[in-house]
Amino acid sequence: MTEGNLAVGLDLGSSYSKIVLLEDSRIRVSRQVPSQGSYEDIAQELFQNALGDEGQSLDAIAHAGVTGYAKVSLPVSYQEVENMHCQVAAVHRLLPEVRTIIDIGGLYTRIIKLNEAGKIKDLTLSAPCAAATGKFLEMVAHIIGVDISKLGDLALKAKTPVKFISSCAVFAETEAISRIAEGIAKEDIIAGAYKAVATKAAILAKQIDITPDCTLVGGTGQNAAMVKYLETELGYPLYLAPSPQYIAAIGAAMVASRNS
Amino acid sequence: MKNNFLGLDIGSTMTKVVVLNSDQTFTKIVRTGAEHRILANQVVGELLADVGVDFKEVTYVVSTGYGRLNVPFADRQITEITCHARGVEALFPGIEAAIDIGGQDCKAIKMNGGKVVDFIMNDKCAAGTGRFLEIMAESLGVSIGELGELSLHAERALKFNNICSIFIAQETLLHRSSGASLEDIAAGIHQAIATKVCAMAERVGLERGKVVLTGGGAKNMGLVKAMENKLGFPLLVPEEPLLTGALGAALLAKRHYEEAMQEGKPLATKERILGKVSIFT
Repeated sequence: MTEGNLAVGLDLGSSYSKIVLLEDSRIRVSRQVPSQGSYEDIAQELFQNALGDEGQSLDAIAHAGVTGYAKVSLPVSYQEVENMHCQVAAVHRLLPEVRTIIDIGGLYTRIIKLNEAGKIKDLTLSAPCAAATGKFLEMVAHIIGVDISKLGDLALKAKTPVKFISSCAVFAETEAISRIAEGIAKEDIIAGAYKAVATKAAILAKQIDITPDCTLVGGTGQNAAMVKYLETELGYPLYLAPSPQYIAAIGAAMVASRNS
Repeated sequence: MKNNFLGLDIGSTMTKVVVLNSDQTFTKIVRTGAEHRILANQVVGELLADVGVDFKEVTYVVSTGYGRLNVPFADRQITEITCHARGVEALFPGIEAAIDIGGQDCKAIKMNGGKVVDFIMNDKCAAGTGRFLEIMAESLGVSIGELGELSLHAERALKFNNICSIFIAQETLLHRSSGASLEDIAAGIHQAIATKVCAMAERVGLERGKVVLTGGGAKNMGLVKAMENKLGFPLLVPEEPLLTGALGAALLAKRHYEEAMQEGKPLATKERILGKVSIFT
């Protein structure tokens, strides 16, 4: 595996699975699919398609790193990398000034503090409860009948975000139904959901020493509404990576390259 | 003319009606749903027609439950906690505690002579409510009834590390793909919910053998058994555990009438028209 020049990074997430092909830390290919069906099938499909996009064969791959929810088999040997270490590696390389990584995932929110050398200094994770997580946003999107990709744009048009009484991902359905029945604009309901998620993340971030050098990684980092509400709750503007949804995949490829 | 008293309990998931007179008790239970909530008036109309009582012959109407405020023909609205306590006392005189596992909430009531002394309620987290079991059944592709039944045949219940409905649903899929039996998963699910509900209920104080379980959760044998194991004593379950709130509402309607008569006060009632029950006022 030494003659190739590409590093592949695969991130099997709870909502989406992503792959990147890197050449000297630059993204050559990035792809993502919803995590539906078996992770094994998802991994095969992403891998073949990513190579196909570049018209490359297996020989072009020098390093491979995999992170996320499942163990899968790939046609190349790969290194398993813990998700957090992927994020840290990628953020430190792409955004060297950042000291706080905020990850609002499908099932949890995580805050990582870094030192100047890019080493983990402190860490906090939300309780095992899907309240005000990505799942909560998904449930609200589902009830309102809006594709999750349109959710952010709608939220930005809100006038008065509603307040969710419970941020339980399950009861989000009930609450959204009630608000719709009351005739409240869907933009205001969606914005209320973002606000609930941002509030929870900001409270968590403030539990550890927070400084004005935060980034938001994961799928929510490319969502303008999430960024806006989180900036409001934190009181600081965020630093953003060019493809925040691919951060863990990028980091997996970087760690694999570094370690071999 | 016989006095008829009507209790209407509009829950988040089920709508229950009880009509009481000096001789008999009549009941009806339907699924709430957005549509049915609008049609609660129709449900009341159907029950009255079935038992041959004209709405004009109904002396007093009490509504309770999640949808109680939107019933235009209710003479009085009373919270479900008060109604449950009253209904449970009628079925189990002298009982001191009741746990109600509803579609979207769960409550523990401490009572004395049918009066509420203390209560705790969870309506903020789906764990510990009927919705939790619905989600688990859905993710395993079985009905709630089947889920309860399956759990009774487990060899070794799985242990779940947390209680969030979404997390457990996710975990069950992983357990399924690693070959765990539906029975063991189902038993683990019921143990998880039993742990959560019992921990909450114990905060109001439970005495051995003096606890009634009501609501849809009481119809699930898997859950009843898991809770009994957790508490270490058997629970008392009414023949129809869904009806205690509506029964309590009807009994409170009757008591209100009797008190008014004793005091010689006029009984203020709404016009006897079965107006539409809207979702929101």
